[in-house]
Amino acid sequence: MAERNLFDAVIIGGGLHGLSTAIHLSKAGLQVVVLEKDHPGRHASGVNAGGVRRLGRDLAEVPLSVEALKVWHEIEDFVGDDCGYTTCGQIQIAESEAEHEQQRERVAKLRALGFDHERLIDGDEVRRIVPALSPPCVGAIWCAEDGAANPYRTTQAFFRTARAAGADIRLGAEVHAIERVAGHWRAQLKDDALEAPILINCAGAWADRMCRMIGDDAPLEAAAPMLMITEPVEPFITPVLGAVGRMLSFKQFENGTVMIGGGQRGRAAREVNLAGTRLRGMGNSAATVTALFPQLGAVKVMRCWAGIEAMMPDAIPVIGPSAVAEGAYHAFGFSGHGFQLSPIVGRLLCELITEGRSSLPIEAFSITRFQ
Amino acid sequence: MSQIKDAALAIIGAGHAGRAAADLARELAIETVVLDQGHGNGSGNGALVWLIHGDGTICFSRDDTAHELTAQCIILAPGALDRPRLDEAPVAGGAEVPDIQITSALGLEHGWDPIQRFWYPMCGEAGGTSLERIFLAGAVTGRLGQAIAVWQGRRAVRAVAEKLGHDIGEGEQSEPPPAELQTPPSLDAARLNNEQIVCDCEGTTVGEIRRLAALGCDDVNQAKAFARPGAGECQGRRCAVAVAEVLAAARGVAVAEVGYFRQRWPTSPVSLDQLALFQELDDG
Ligand SMILES: Cc1cc2nc3c(=O)[nH]c(=O)nc-3n(C[C@H](O)[C@H](O)[C@H](O)COP(=O)(O)OP(=O)(O)OC[C@H]3O[C@@H](n4cnc5c(N)ncnc54)[C@H](O)[C@@H]3O)c2cc1C
Repeated sequence: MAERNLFDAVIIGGGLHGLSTAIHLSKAGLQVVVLEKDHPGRHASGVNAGGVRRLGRDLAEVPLSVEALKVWHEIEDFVGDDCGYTTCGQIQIAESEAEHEQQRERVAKLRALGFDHERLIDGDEVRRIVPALSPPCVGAIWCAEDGAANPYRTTQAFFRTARAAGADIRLGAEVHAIERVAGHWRAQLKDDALEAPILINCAGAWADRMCRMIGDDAPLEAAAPMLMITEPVEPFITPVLGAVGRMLSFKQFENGTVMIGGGQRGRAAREVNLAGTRLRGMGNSAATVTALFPQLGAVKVMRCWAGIEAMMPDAIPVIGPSAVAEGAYHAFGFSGHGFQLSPIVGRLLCELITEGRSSLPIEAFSITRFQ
Repeated sequence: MSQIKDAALAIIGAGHAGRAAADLARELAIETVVLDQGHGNGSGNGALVWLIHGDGTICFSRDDTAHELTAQCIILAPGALDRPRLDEAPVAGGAEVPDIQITSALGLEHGWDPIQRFWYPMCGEAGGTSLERIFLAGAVTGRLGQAIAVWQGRRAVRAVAEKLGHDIGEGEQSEPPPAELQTPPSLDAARLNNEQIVCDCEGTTVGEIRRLAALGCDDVNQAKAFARPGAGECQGRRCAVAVAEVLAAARGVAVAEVGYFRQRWPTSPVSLDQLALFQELDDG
């Protein structure tokens, strides 16, 4: 039987956002094909830190992030797997009065907008939540309901769910060209072409290329945030920990290993799918960790890696319709924090496509902001 | 952070190939640094290599000091490792596999040798690779045995000397001595039972690899992402071949198709205190 090549929607990119969009559209009754040049989870979606964080989000992202967390709390209902999700809490510490003042302003701003998920706590409470912390700490922002999940498992679960919902997911399928043919989009593969009236660009760090093919333009930078993981140590910290004044994201897993990240960048070469590590950045992360937890100095780092991520100049994603072409939509540029948003962005795109409007405000993410 | 004086040549690994290379380099008056992590094994000097860039930058530590140096050429001679045991077949004539951690982290291309059943990095007759400053010699190339290692070590130095513009005259033009061909009995991966452990560090079983194959997992890096074989203490040194063979058998394809683990620097575990030594480093 010949493979079908006319669909209701073509999605480019089988990362979490492409898969989530595929799940929602398939459930809404659309025939969807996902084209993925490698395999799901090969890039950012499968190798990230798994942080499920509302804490510290750009104000424009807060409503989406709050809604996404509701899905994370019931993630098994969405994708039939718990994705390794735990509500371990996320904490951002302030090491000086000035830093804590910044936090006060931030929390007040959120309150004014009607959000109370970020809570200010004092130094004593920080010590109660993270007794192992060494330097004196003035206070923190505490999001007790935030958490973390396992990105491998999450990607696998989204993949299975999208397939089960009826999406046709093609692996090793790289889109080389996009054309407009008789009111349809045609995505050209090496030896095949798929057509649909709707085209959705979820191509991660390669999304600017897809933009150019349909006539849009977006200033995307492909970067390679790094992570490292230690050997197992005795349990000493539960929440994911960050700090106002340091590049750090720190999480101990149930098996005792500690994941260390926080935005230090490696070397990205997206043409060859390469995300390489850099010693200096890793050295900086290590120094930050041992300043906060000197007892970890002798603990061994087992593995370092990096993933290719799409960074936008204003560090918030592009979500919504094309500025120039009918029937084309974008969801990319998550700038280092798109894992948490993955259950919700697909839903908003689905609403846009099937109902012509989205239930949450997405104007701030319009691609027209770069024109 | 100490900046060691740059060298014309750096040799990584002081086994038969590395030592032969170092000897000839000395004869030819090529300024050479030898780095070998072995402590007190005669040839080792406690230098743990953390990172090598194709441009000749090498970062290493020794006695709790971090060092960086730039070499115009690098000869990699990390040797071979003991072949891990998975099946119960006798080990006769096949107890080693090339140590490809460094060559994989450098992004060199590797081939699968179906007779000797291991991965090896591709290189030319004189050890040259796709990275113009990087040469290979010794067992890492998949050609095992002392005589060939010594020959390759010397051959690589002559290639380096030529590249650096040293006059080495006619030199020796000998044919390479034959390598010792290992013929380990092929692994009957289909007969292994599901409970058998493939990756000791992470406890990944044969059954888990088979389940991943059924899910559509195509290569060992995907398997590593999903079930963690090769992600533990030894970084796949022990299980790389076994994981590839079990996955290939489960998928019904040649081992060459399922690939080898992509490595990242540093390729060996290091403490946070040691890692912090490198915070001032400028490694581009
Ligand atoms: C190291 C690291 C840590 C992170 N930590 C966190 C965290 O803790 N919390 C958080 O919320 N976020 C985190 N992120 C960010 C998060 O991982 C990403 O924002 C998110 O996964 C992006 O998903 P995506 O689907 O847009 O992109 P991707 O997962 O990159 O998927 C895009 C896909 O498109 C495919 N593609 C590209 N071009 C083509 C083409 N021409 N044809 C076919 N397919 C194509 C690619 O192969 C890729 O698989 C982290 C990211 C990294 C790298």
